[in-house]
Amino acid sequence: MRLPKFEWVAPSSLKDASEILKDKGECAKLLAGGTDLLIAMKQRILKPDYLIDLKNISGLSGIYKLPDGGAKIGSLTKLIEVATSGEMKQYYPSLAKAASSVGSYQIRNLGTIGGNLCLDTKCDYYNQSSYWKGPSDKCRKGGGDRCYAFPYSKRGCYALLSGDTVAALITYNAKIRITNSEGERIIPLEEFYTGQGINHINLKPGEILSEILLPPSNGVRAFFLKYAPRNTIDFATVSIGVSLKKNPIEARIVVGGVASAPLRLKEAEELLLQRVDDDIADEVGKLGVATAKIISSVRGGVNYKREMIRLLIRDAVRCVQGF
Amino acid sequence: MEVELLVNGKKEKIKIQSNVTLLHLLREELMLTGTKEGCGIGQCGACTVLLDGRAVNACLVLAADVQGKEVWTIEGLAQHGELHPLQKAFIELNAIQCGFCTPGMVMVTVALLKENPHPTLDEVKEAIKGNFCRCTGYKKILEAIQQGADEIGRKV
Repeated sequence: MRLPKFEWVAPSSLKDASEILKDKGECAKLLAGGTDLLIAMKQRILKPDYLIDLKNISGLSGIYKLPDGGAKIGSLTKLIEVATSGEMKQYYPSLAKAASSVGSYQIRNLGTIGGNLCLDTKCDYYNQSSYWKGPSDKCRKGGGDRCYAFPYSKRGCYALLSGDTVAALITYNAKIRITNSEGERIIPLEEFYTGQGINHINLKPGEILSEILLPPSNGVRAFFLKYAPRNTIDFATVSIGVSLKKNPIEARIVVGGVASAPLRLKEAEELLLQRVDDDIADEVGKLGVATAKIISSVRGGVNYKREMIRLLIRDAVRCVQGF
Repeated sequence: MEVELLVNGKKEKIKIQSNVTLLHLLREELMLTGTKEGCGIGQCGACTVLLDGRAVNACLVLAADVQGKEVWTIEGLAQHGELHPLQKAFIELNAIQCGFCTPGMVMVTVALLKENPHPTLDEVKEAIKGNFCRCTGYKKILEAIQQGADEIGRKV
């Protein structure tokens, strides 16, 4: 398959990249690993006029230990490095596991963690190639005014957040550094997602995700589970991250792949905190699923996803509790 | 634009357009058609090549991005007219039916054996998860990979 024509620019600094991005606006796309964007372009889902390649910018890649005991990961760090780095496996094992569940070995050698966080939301209709869809059938995400996945919906887009590392990173309370030509801001990863299928990430014009910041993981027990119809090269039907932290005590239960943003199940977290030493995995799973807002897709209807979420939360909670 | 890269140890300088992928550069500019295009969207692994020693899907790499890098394809495995032990094992054990997936299977295994010279069956299965074979059903392929790995292990 061929790529459509575009102009390739490879700036050598983040500042230049940000200025070009701001200048070109909607016509430009950032290129990191390319394992998502290039596919969308080959299928003529996206046709940017400019590709701003980030690979020539130094300092965007690498895993570093921070003095406070935490770690920072450059956004262009390959998923394979996150999955296999000794540092990650020792201190953030559930993140390493999540990274190793993405795509295939070849894809992890190309794809980046920043790209995984910014991964476009996926829809059973929108992500079909334009040859399949035909020239005039545009859904809301494609610039039209209909939704073919949910034809009776009046507005909105129901494409699903599909990055596997998202849930794992949120359980570690990760923050991200967003840089533009004038400066930078640091926000919790949770706030990065808007909850919309279209414009699903919270980036203003010219802003680039440059770094992921992980707080120290001492006293944190975290677990990640991904369930997909195929156990390779597939997006998750459900991905679950659960973590339990001592001093100060905190619990996090995050579900990915079932809505346009990661879901935090706060009521289930409360229950887990209150009775942390009891065998309550089953109850936490039931409560978690009762409060989750789920979108159906080709990977499973709402009831099926609910049941899978319940079971995966139960298993993950047992693992962090040590049962 | 022009890119300069090492392909199978040989320096190449090629004029390309920005929308050319590494796969098309290899197949159409350098005529190295051993690397196959299966799906073109990173799902089948038929286009696997080694980029700076790492197995990647050539269909998902922009040719512009390989400037100054080293690429090894299936054509570069045979040395002095003698096939690579993995290639021999694939032939000996009939791990080939139509042969379309074979270059990708071999290349991903070469990458695996560099990192892990004595892989277990599970590790081999994990490594070829991103490679589809639609004819043989993988059993012969797994046997060939293990025989090839043993052969290489004996030489070292």
